[in-house]
Amino acid sequence: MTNQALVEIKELSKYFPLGTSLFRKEKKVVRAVDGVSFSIGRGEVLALVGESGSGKTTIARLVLGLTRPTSGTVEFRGRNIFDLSDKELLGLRKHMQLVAQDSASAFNPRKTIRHILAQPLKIHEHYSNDQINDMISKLLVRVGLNPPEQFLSRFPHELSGGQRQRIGIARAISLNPEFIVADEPVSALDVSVRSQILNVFKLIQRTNELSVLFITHDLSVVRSVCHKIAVMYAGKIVEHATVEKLFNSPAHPYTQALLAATPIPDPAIAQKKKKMALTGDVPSLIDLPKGCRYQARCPWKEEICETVEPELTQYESDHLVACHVASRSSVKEMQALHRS
Amino acid sequence: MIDMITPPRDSILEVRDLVTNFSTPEGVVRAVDGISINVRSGESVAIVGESGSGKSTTALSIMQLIPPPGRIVGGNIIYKGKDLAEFSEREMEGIRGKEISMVFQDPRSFLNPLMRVGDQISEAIELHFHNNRETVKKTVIETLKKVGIHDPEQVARYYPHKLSGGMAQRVLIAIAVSCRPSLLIADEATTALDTTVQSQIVDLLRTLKDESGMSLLVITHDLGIVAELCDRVYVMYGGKIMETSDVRSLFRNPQHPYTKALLKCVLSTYEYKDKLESLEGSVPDLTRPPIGCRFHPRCPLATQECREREPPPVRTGESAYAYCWKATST
Repeated sequence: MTNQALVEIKELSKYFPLGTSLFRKEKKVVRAVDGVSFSIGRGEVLALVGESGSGKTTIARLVLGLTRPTSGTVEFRGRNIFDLSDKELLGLRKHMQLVAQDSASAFNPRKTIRHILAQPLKIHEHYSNDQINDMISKLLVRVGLNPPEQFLSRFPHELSGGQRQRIGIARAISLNPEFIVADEPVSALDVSVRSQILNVFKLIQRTNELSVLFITHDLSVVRSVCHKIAVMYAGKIVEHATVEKLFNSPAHPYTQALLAATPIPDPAIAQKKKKMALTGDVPSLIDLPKGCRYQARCPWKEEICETVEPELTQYESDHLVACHVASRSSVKEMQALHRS
Repeated sequence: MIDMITPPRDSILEVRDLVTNFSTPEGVVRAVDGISINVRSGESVAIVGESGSGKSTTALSIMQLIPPPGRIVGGNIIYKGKDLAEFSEREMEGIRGKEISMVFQDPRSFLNPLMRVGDQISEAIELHFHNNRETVKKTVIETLKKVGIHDPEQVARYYPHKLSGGMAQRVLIAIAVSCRPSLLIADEATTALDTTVQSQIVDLLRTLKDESGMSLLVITHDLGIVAELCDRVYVMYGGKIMETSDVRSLFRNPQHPYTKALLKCVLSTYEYKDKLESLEGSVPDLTRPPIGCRFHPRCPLATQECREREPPPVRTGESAYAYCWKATST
């Protein structure tokens, strides 16, 4: 969008081929990610929201260069990371880091916290042991594990889920990266711990001016943490807007259903509200329907939706939607009614 | 004092002063430390708390399924007037699945990957009812239909790997309700699911409860689920009950500082917050629980009294109690 984009993804697709066999001659592919474009500016947090199987994690892997796309490019600081040599890519890796969802399996269970945090510093920089110890202590304090000496010689299983996720953040920021992919960083945590981790994350994001791709299926996490949001459905982005716009005037029927499914923490409203029931499942990514991918679950389906696949187009400023009917005035009125 | 907590007549499950311990090399963990709860017939009751507060241990104690080195060391679990602790293992088999059923968090790990879905559902029915094959088959298909599976004949022939996460959870619920239990315990049954699927499962549980009149005991850390699904709530912390109340008063007017803190942690899609409210610190080590009120190390209101003496139940409303020195009685 702007020329200061740090990460820019253009028409990115990833198809996973299904093997042929004696009885299945026809070659089929799973279209996990299908023509996705977006950019993340410096210091910007983009939320990528969608159900399981919508292609969120595949995008995370593509953006970090952990798997090659079928087509399309991922530009980091203006260069396509898939054109780089292995050596150049290794040099780039320290600028892009991952915070994984399952902190229990993200670390080597046989290594101490000290070892886990020292590893990236040893691989990418040539610090002395004293310098490394000093840096690790500072890192632990930054993520709220105080006093650090208490944690250095512990093993991952000796920490609680929240403490482990703090270590995950510490490891990701240890090399002062510019870009972090956070793949469901708080989904496995208790409500009380979730806010603690989000606060740590937010503080570090601001002080380091980090660009973040924040992947989640939980919209309630997005509101206070992210700047922009892209909603994915079956391998495509269906709506892309600033957080304010998306929450105040969601345009795509899928986004609206997602919002309606987010629990309301008030029994007086929650037990009375009429739900926009989202029935059925995500379509098979092998045999995708012609036309809009959301048609089977869409309450506003029209003829055009069955034949023409909607493109991501301007709905309002800073607000893109891939839907044939969302911008019709009759539908807009209905939405306004629904929200009040 | 005891008299205030006498359960009502139509109580179907009554847990009285339950204590469940785990003996570990580090010492005895009092995972559940003298809690009393009751569930009325047709009622939906929640136990809410953080991980490590003893919610799941309470559920497993009710089912008499505490794995060693855990042991129920005190209290009674009275189901329809009979104490389950006095039941033999054989008698408990007649209760589990038929009278009290349970649904767990991770549906896939509870389904046998080598058995067709239909056969897994039929197991419980055959065990408890000894019907002929045709009747059992019909019940299986009916149950699958009841849990919202559109093509039950087809799905009954599937192996579990073919099911999506939401469908697997529906199948697990089908197994649980196949014998028409009077009480269904849902232990974090929606936690690992997508928001959309979670909302479908919550709706399903509510419908099943309303249609069959069974009682629900919902164990969760998510107050959003409680708001949508439950009538009454017990808030648990460090193996003890902190507060109990009907769901509306609990959300409107929480009395215990722990409940207040938990409620503040619930994130809303309606407003932006610069700094999210959080509850600092972590759950106590139950080999050496804090003296006095268990919550005092994290409590903003803690006084000397809280650090020394355990708070008694304070009546805060009609059948509502808070275990807190600061709560005001009504």
